[in-house]
Amino acid sequence: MNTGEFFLLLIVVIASAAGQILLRKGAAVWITDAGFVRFLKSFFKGPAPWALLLVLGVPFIYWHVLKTVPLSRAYAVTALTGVFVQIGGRLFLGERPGGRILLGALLCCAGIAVWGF
Amino acid sequence: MLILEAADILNFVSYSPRRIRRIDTAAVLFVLLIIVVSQSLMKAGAEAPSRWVFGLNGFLAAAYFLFLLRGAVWALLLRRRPVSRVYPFLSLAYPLVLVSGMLFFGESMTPGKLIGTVLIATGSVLIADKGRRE
Repeated sequence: MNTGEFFLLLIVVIASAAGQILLRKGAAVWITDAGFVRFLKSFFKGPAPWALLLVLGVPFIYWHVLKTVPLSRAYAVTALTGVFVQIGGRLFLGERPGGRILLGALLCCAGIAVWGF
Repeated sequence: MLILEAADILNFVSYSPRRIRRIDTAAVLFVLLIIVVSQSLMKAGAEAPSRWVFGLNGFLAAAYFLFLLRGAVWALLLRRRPVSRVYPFLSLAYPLVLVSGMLFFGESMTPGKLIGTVLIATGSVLIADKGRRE
C-alpha cells in the first residue's frame, strides 16, 4: 500500500467516524414523540443530514481504494474508525473514554502495525 | 423471513423473551454475514469494469444495497440491545474478511496478519465497552 492509498483509507476512516459523531450530536435535538413531520424537521435542523451524507458517500472512496489494495488489508485499517470515534467523542462531545476503551484503541493500532503497513 | 421479523419489531411485547433472543441472535449473524458478503462484493466490483454512473457496476450496486440494509438492521438491533452485547460478535468480521480475501481473491495468510487480526478484533471488543456502562 502506498502513501496515497493509505491517505485515502484514512479519509474513509475519518469520514466514517465524523459521520457517527455528527449523528450522535444530531440525535440530541431530534423530536421523536410528536409525529413524523416534527421528527423530520428536527432531523434537518441538526448536523444529522451531513452525517448521512458522509456515511453514504464513504463507500465510493472505499471501493476506489479496493481497486489496488487487498481486501483484508483495507478492512483491517477500517478498525481505526472506532479509535477516531473515541477521539472525536472526547474532542467534540466531551466524553471521557475509560481504561478499557484506551486499551482497545491501543490494541487496534498495534494490530494494524503488526499487519505490516 | 428476517425482514418480516424486523418489520414486526414494534410488536415485540407479544413475543416471549426466548423468541426475542433468537431473533436478535439471527439479526447479529445476519449483520455479520452482510459485512463479509458486502466487503467481498465491493472488492469484486472494484476490480470489475465500471458500467454505470459514478463508476458503479452490478457488484458495487449489490454491495451498496447490502451496506444500507446492514445499517437498517443494525439500527433496529441497537434499539433494544446495548452495543457491548452485540458488537463483540461483529469483531468476528475481521478474521472472516481475512479468510474471504484468501479464498476469493488469492490473498496471502501470514502469521503477522493473523496476530494483527486477533489484536484488532480484541481491540474492537474493548472499544465497545462504552455501551456496557450506559
